[in-house]
Formats: sequence, C-alpha cells, structure tokens
Amino acid sequence: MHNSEGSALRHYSERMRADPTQGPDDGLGDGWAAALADLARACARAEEALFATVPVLGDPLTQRRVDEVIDHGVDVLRDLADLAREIAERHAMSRSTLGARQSDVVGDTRVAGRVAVRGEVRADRPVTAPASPPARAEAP
Amino acid sequence: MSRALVLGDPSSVSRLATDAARSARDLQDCATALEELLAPLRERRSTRVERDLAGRLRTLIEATRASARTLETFGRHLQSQSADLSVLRGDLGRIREEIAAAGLVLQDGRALLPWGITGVAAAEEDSRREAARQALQAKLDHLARLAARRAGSLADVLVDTAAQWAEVAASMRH
Repeated sequence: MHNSEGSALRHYSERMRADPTQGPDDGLGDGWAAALADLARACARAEEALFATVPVLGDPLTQRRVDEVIDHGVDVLRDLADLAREIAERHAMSRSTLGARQSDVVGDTRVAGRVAVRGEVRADRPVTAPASPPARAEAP
Repeated sequence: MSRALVLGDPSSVSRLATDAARSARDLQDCATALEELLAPLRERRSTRVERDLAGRLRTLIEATRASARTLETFGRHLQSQSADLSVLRGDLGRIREEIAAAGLVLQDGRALLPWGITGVAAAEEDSRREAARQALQAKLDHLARLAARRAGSLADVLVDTAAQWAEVAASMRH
C-alpha cells in the first residue's frame, strides 16, 4: 500500500472511531466494508479447503490435471480477495476525502476550498463565517 | 488388456467435492450480499467516484458468481466421480474374491494362473480353470473400460474447469 493511501485510510479510521455515525455519503454505505471483508474471508476459506484435501484419482495424468485446476482456482480466489480489498481501500479513501470536504467545521471558522492531494486533505484558504449581524442604528 | 486397475480413492475425491460445493455456496452468498448493496446505487444519480466504484463492484460480483459456478460444477463432477469410483472399487473387490476362489492371481489388471505346480494334472481341470480365467478376465476388461471412460469424462471436465478459471481471471484484468 502506498503511503498516501495509508494516510487516507488512517484518516478515515480516525474519523470513524471518533464518530462512526457521521460518515459522508459517497453512495456506498458502511455495509460495503463488511460485505467486501466477508468475501475476502470466503476466498481465504475456499483456498484453504481446496488445498486441504488431495484427491487420489489413480491415474497420474488425471491427477496432474486436477492439481493444475486446483492451483488455477486458488489463483483466481486470491485475485478475487485482492480485488475486494482494493475496492474496500478505494471506498475508504473516497469516504475520507469526501468527509473532509463536507464536515470540517470549527467554531465560527469554516475551512473552504479543501482539496485532496494524493490522499491527504489540505486546507487552501480559511475563510471566516459571517459573524453576528451588525447592530442596526436606532431610528431617531 | 494389461492396464493396471488403480482406481483412486473415492473418499478423498468426495471430500474435495464437498469442500468445493461449500466454497461455491459461500461465494454465491457473498455475491448476493454485494448485489443487494449495489442495487440502491443504480436507482439514483451518481458521482464519478460512485460510478467508478460501482463498476469495480460489478466486476467483482460477476467474477465471484462465475467462480462460484465453476466450483459448483467442479464439485458436482467430483462427487459423481467419487460415487462411480466406489462402485468400481466394489466390483473390483468382488472380482478379486472370485479370482482367488478360482485359484488364480490378479496382476496388472490380468487374471493369471499362478506360478509353479498347483492343483492336479488333469486336462478337465485345466480346461475348467482356463474358462474361469477367461470369464474373470472379461469382467476385469469391462471394469477397466468403465474406469477409463470415467477418467476420460473427468479429464474433459478438468479441461472445461481450467478454461472457466482462465475466463474469470481475464474478466478481472479488464
């Protein structure tokens, strides 16, 4: 994982630890992370199961072909798990970036013009929100 | 036919079949869960990030379903292979007993007269034993043909399965 991705993921994790109910809406809810993790685990279980039993078929040629098919299947299962993890990471990064755009508010000072640079969130220019309206002059 | 009758171990084949079928169900469940999460996203306008993620997810879901199908088919054929192996081994066991009862030996898939001087020196007895040997050899040959046909069918399944895995792998690279 690249450092920038790791940084974005840490940022995301910290935000979710601070308040897991306050996630930005990037269109994919938190259920995705769990479903993708489930898939990666299912792939790992399947890989283990395929490797756990050596079927004895009697014929050396058939035996070799079965071994090749199992190896091939395990490669595909690993690719599936990798793709699931990659999507989960992208999802986490996009949530992190969008979250910073939407909800960084400190007191009366709002941070505007935030941009994501290689997974990091940076403030370009702070602007001050309008203070309380000026007192109107008393009519004579 | 001189081919040795080595038929394989049905229980090990059955275990792998069961594992493959269970893995297929797991993957199918995961694909269904992801599909259900993806559905609401299709129903509304989405951003570029959402579209990109949704595209990757669709690829993942399709590859997961294809993998599940491949494992399911593979497992089903292995289970069938295991059942056939059990029957063939049972038949071979019975033929072995008949061979022993006839005073013959089984070697490399052939019913043979034992080495050395056995039995009595009588033409009738020799003729009876030869007839028994031929009958048992015919049974062995039939069994060997069934085993070879079964192995050929499994080989076809393995070729198809390898092609399906290659297809799934390619779908994830695009």
